[in-house]
Amino acid sequence: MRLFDPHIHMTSRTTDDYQAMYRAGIRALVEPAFWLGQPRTHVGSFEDYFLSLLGWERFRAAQFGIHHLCTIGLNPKEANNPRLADSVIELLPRYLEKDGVVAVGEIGFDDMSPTEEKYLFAQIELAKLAGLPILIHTPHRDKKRGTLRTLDVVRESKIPERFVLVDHNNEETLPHVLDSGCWAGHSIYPETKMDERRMTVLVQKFGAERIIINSAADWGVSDPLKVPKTVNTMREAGIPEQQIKRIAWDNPRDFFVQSGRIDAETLERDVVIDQRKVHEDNSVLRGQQPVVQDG
Amino acid sequence: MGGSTAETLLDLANQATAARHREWLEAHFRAARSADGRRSVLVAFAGAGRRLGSSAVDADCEMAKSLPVGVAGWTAADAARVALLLTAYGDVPEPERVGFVEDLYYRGELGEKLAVLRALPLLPDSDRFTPLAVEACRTNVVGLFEAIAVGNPFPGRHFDEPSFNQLVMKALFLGVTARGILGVQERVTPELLRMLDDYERERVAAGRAVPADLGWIRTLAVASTAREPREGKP
Repeated sequence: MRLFDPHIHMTSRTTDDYQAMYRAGIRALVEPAFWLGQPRTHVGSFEDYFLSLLGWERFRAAQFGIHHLCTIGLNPKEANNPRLADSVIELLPRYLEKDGVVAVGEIGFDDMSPTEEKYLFAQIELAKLAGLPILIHTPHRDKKRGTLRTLDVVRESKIPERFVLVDHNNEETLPHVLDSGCWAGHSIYPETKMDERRMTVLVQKFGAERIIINSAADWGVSDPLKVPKTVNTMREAGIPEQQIKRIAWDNPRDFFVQSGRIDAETLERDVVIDQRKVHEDNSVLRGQQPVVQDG
Repeated sequence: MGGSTAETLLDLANQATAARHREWLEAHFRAARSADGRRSVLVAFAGAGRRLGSSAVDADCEMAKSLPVGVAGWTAADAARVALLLTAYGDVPEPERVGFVEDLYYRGELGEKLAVLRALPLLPDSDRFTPLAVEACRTNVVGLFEAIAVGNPFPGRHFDEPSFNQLVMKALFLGVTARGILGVQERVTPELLRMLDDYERERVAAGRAVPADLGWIRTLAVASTAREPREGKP
């Protein structure tokens, strides 16, 4: 079964992780733009980070056989920085247009400040202009209230709910997110947040529709294999294979394909580092001299 | 500037892309020639990859062969991006031209960077882009390195000897064929041969394979000048 991890911060992971992910069946991932553990002090830091998601990290993933897509946006924590926030927003029209960007994100609330709300609304508008779905980070503190306020913002902004993935859900928030019509993401962690066993119970209770799982692995204690491990736990609990596939491949694929930036057929195929090699007959890359008129 | 080269590349791109994308391309080409051309090129450059696709242009047709550079391996997106760059370049004030190209390169993702490197030999006074091209060779993203090192006349024409030698060594390191480096026949120097010798010794000492192209480069030196017989050559 091809597996998809739609929320993982590979910039903080090693090649060991890429190798292990590939061996465990992961063939596609989405790396959302987020903070780096401490606040950035220059808008250029954001810009170079966006470029690294689009460039080096995509290349690194391809070397290990994994399709790498990303989201671009101003994250909730750093939205609170008045010196930089507007400058980062100004970058977005150009960066949202680039190859491999499948959503605006991670956006949402962290402290539930008015500033965070302002930039959440602003970035939803940019997503609508760009025709992109959005990836929403729900706060870890006061989560239920934060999620409910998030759903209010989504409703007020009139972005279609099918274009909205609300992430980091738990038992308290999931029913509300499903009721709203949005997609519901769950980050499976070793010690905190959600785990495989609880996720399995949620699936038994709510089914597979619009349910998405991810590892949200980052620089902290986290596990880039949580998607395959959760698949195993669900399987052992007797959840039908069809539902498991839906959760671990079809749903994330269907959500991000809405961006128009990637198609399902490409994701089904093995990643190719250089697409042109597929098409060339007389590739210079195979050692033949090109015809060049020097002039 | 760039008129007929840009037009030809635009035609090649159109031929290699689906009909529904040609309108997008025509519209952005018109915008690139307008007063606001520079700004609109930045956005069009970004979106060209997924809009126009990765189908290869026909590098063997008469039109392609009339170009100053070979376009083997170029996609519709590559050709369109180079055409857009050339078209907008002419309207950029002279003192801002290097900055304009650098912006497209350093703020471009991979596909955009590839297009900038391919465009360099087509720009007037292209020698001033040598620092950018040398910087591009530092990458470990193989496709990016190939865009400057393989089938591109720029390094052969503009790199100084140390930079050119480093390019050849980097090709060996990355497993990129040296046979595609334009100008390598004319630029094998005693210093490059010394670097190859040291590299070969290093690989043999490590019990690792020596790239086949290493021997091929040596044959170029033997063919082009009369040399002392080499000792210890396999």
